[in-house]
Formats: sequence, structure tokens, C-alpha cells
Amino acid sequence: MENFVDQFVVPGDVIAKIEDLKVRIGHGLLQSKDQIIASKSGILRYSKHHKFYWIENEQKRYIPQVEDMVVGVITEKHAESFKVDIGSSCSALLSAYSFENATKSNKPLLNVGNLVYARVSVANKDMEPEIVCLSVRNKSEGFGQLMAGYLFNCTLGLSHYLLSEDCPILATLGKHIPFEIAVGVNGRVWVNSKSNLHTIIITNTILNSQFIPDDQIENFILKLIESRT
Amino acid sequence: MTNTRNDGRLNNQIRAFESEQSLLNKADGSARFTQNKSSVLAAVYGPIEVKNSRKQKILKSLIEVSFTPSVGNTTYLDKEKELLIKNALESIILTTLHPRTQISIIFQVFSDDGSIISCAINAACLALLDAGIEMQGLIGSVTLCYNHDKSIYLDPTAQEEKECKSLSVIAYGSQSSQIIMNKTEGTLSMDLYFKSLPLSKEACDKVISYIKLAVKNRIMGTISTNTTSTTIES
Repeated sequence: MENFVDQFVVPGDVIAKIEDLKVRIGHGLLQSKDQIIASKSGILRYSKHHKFYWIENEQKRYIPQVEDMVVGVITEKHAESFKVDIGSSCSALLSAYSFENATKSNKPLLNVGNLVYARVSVANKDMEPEIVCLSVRNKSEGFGQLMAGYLFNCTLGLSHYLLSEDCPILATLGKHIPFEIAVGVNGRVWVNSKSNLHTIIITNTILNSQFIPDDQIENFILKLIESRT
Repeated sequence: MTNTRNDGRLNNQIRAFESEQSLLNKADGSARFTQNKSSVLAAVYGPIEVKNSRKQKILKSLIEVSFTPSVGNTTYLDKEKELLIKNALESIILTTLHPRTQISIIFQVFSDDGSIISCAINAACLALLDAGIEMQGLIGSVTLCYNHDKSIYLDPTAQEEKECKSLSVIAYGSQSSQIIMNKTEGTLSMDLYFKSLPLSKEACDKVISYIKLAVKNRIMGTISTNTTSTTIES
């Protein structure tokens, strides 16, 4: 399996025979008897820390997976739950009690069209996905309603990259502009800053970051700030 | 081999491929596949919620294909093409991974100069890869026409399709090289049919290796890829 890491694969490629049972496979990989087969085209990635293999590609459609952090839009409001659009084939269910300190008499005040940052708690291909606005420790810890700000879409690959540890874009942006950001791995990014101009600069930097080498990002941001003031 | 075809190609020569991916903004995946004057755009949406809940399948996703010609309305001939393409694609898409969903594949023909079904299948394969739909392998397709003098033309133009004795559209998968789809029109002797199989197999392999290259180029940065025309040795 090691000799395929960081290589380009297409559907049908036999990546390895299973020898080590402690390996985990994700996105775009399938097990067929004792073989691991690619089912998507892209680059095979490996996380040493989690012993986890997956295929990285530039797809736009989100498929829910447990523990994913997503940005959703409320589409329906019911007595004890909300229907949330998270970009998957079926809208997700958000219980009104899955917020910090929510009780029967103290429900969150959310309306149709509001944004929430949530965690996927149930993702099964035969069931409707369920999301919660609580961390594993049952605290809000950043999850919940997203007030004001601006929402834009990007590819799933870019949203994963923004969340990865070796992504310099957000740190570089933070040096020049103060801002708030919520990245959903469903390809939705929410940003908020003090002025509309800053929000536009942040959005453009993130969307163009795929086409700019890492060391030129700072110049790009400075140029944008200069040209607008 | 003597040069008998109108456009100066050899009997066993396919037209050069050209392709472009991700050209539509709203679609989950899209690709344009061109072979000289035959050009098809394929767009893939999915997996999405089933539009017509009566058609929903409990154990697998529904594949919907719609084929629009470059001029005029869709006719029964286009419906037949839709069915052929749908059957071919259903066998390579892993439909059981997303039950109760729909995958829509929409074709728009830019210009039709023969081998249009093959062109559409190849475009669909590229678009499905671009959309990140799970597949068990790749698919490549080629059209052959059999003439009255028993010669075989690979990848015929519209003119050659009209003049030939019989025509066959064939699609191979990249896994274990099995035939996925075959449709034959007109009368055709068994000898000639079996003689042409290795030729079509070789041509489909060329198509598949081109598709691989195009997707690799897309992921590594360049959006469009083209080749020069190729001769197939059987």
C-alpha cells in the first residue's frame, strides 16, 4: 500500500492486499475480499497518526460521514427538531435538544434560513443523517448558530485542506486581517469580519489559494488590501 | 494498407481525442469529449434526492440519462441512445453505495459526425470521474462499421455510417476487459464480428488510457488534454 501513497489512482486500481488488520480506509476506497480497491480518481493520501488511507479529489458533492464538521442551512422548523440542508442527497435532522443547555422550556431560537455549525452524529447510507451542535464533551465549543457573516461554497478538497495542520492560508490571512471563520467539510465556508471589504478579500484569497503557490499568498493579500484602500 | 477513406484516415485509425473537464459551474461533474467533428458535453448531478419518488429504488441509486441532440427535438432514436448509455453506465457505477438517491447524467451534443454514442459514453466516464461518483472501473467505447467489401472502419464518420452494411457500438470496461455493451445494426457475418473483436478491444484500451491521462492532467493542474489520431493494430 505504501508505494501508492501520494500517487494518482483511478477506479478499479488494486491498491493493496490486506495484511495489517489495523489499517483504516475512508473516502474512495473499498474492500473486496482481501484486496483494497480504489473507487474514485484522485491522489491516495495516508495519515500516519491515524493509520488512515483515503483518496483526495476535487469533488463538489458531500457525502456525510460521522464526526464531520459541517455548515448547514435550516430549511424546516418543527416542534422539537430542525431539518438542515448540509449539501448531501438527503437533508439532515437536528434535534432542538442537541444544543448546550437546551431544555424543554429553553429551546434554541432558530429560523428557516439561519446557519448552523454542527457535527455529524449519525451517517448511514440507509438513514437520514443526524447532526448535533455539541462537541464530544457535550459542550458547545464553537458549534451552534452562525450570526451575520458571509457563506460561500468551495470544493471538498479545499475545505479539507483549510482544516489541515499544514495549511498556511488562514494563519497568513490572520496576520493582516482579524476575522472569524467556520469551515465545513461539506464544502461550505462561513467568514465574518469587521468590514465587507475584508470579507471579500478573505473569500477571494481562499478561493484563489489553489492556484497560488504558498509563498506568494502574503503578497496576494497585501496587493488586495492596497488596491482597495 | 491502402488509403480508402474520405478523410484520409486508414481503416484502423481512430480520430484524435480532445477533452475538457469541470467546464460547468453548477454541475457536480462535467466533461466535453471531442473527436474531430463529433463533440458531446456530459454533466453529472448526484447523488441527489430522487425527483420522482415513484422511481426511487430502495437498495440502489437511480441512474437517469437524458440525451439532447444538437438540432431539433428528442426523438425515439435519442430515447434508444439514452437506454443504451444508461445500461452501459449502470454496470460500472457502484449504485448500491447510495440507496434511495438519484444520479442524473445529461448529454448535450455539440455536433454529430458519427460515433456519437461512443463519444457520449466516453464523455460520461470523464464526467463521472470528475463528479467523484464511486465506480468499479473505467469504461471506454468505440464504434465500428462493416462495409460491403468486408473491410472494417474504426470510428466512422456520419457519411461512412450511412454507406456501410452494418454498424456496431461496443464498450469495454477497464476491469478484466469484459464487454459491457454491444449493439449491432444491419446484417453481419459471425466471422467478421469475431474478427473485429480484438480490434475494438485494442481501440477501447486506447480510449481508457486516454481517459486516465486526461483525469491525471486535470488533477495535476491542466484542464484540457488532447492527442493525435492513433492507428490500432489488432
